[in-house]
Amino acid sequence: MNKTGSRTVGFCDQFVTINFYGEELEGLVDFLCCDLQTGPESAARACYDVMLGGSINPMLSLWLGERCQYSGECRYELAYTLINEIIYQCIVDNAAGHAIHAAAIGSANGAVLLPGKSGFGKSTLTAWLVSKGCNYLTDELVLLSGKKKQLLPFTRPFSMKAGSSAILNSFVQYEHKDTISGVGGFMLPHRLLNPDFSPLTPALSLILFPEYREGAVTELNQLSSALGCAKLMECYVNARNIEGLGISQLADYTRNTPICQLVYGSFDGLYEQLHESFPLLF
Amino acid sequence: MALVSILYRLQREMTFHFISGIKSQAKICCLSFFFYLLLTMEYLHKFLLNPDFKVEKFDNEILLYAVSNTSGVYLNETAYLVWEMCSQGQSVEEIVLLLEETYSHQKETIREDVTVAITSLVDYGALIPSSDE
Repeated sequence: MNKTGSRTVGFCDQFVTINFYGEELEGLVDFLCCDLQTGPESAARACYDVMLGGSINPMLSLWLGERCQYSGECRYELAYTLINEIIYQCIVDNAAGHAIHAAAIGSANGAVLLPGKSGFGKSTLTAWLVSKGCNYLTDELVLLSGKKKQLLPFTRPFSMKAGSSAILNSFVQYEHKDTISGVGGFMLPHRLLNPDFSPLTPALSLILFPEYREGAVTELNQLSSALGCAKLMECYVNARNIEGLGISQLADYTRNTPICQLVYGSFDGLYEQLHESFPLLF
Repeated sequence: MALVSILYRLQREMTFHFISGIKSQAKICCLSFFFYLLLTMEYLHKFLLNPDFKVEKFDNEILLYAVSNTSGVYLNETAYLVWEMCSQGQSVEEIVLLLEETYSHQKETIREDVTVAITSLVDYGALIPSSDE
C-alpha cells in the first residue's frame, strides 16, 4: 500500500507524525489536526500509520509501529483513538507547563478555564458559549505555563457524546456530513460556530468548574483558592513530570484567579448571569 | 468484633477526597467510625502525620497532597486544626476537649466534626494510627 502523505503535528513542542494511505484519510487527519502545531518530522516522538484496506468492507486501521491501536469500520472510532493518541504522546513527558483536562474559551480580556472530568458537559457548554460569541480554544486540554498564567490550548474539533446532539441542534445548524459520527459520539468542526477563528494563547482570567445537573437551577458559587486548587488537581494530567508535582505553582494560579463552580440544568439565563458576574469575559 | 470489622470496612470503603462538602458520605463515615471508636475506645489513640504528604497552606485552609498519587485533599478550618493538633501528638480525646473548650458555643458538634475529620484523614492515608498507647 502506498503512502499518500503525512503530517507532523503536536502540542507544546511535542510532535507525532501521522502517515496516511488514501485521500479520504488525508481529509480525516486534516479534520482532526488542522489547528495543531506543526513541526519537522525529525522532531516526532512517535509515528502512526492510518490505513484503509479492503474493497467490499473497507477496514480502517491505526498503527503505532507494529502495534494496532484501532481496527474497524467506524471513522469516528478511528478519529477518537487517533486524537487521544496524539494527546497522550504530547503530554506523557511534557514538563513545559501544567496540563489540565479542561475546556477553554478566550477573549481579548483573557481566558476562561473550564476544568472537569469526562461527562461534566464541558464540550457542550463550551460550544454554547462559542455560539454566544466567545472564542474557542479547546474542549479537552490546556497547558498552563509561567508566572503570567499563559494558557496554551490543544485545539481540536468539538468532541461530543451522542446524547448531546439534540441540545447542540438548538443553537447550531449543521448537517450530518459536517461531522464524523459513531455510536458513542460525534466530532464537529469548531469553525461552524466560530468562523473567524484565530489561534490565541491568552492569560488565565477565570476558572469555572462546570457541572450539568438535569433540572438544576443555575448557580454560580465562588470557591476558595484551596478548594479550587484541590478540584484543579483532579484534572491535573502531567503532575508527575514536574518537580514537587508543581502544586505550589498551581496553588499560586488559584490564589490569583477568581474561581467559581457553575451548576446548571439549562442554558436559560445562563449567559446573562455570567455576563453580570464577569462582564469583561462574557 | 465482627460489627467493628464491618463498620470499619464500611468507612474505609468510602472514597473521600474532600472533607467538607460530601455530607451524606461524611455522615455514614462518621457513624461507622463513631461506633468503631466507641467499641474500641480509640479516643485515647494518637495519630501520626504520614510523611509522604506535603502541605500547601492557604489562608485558613490547607491542601494536602501525596507525592505518590498526585491527588489532593482539601481541609477546611476544622480539619486543619485537627491536623495541626495531631502533628503535635495529641490524642483524639485531647483534641475534642481542647476544641470544646475553645469553641464552647459549638460544643455539641465538635466531637462529630473531629471524628469525621480524623476518619477522612485516616481513610485518605494522611494520618496513620500511632503504635503508642
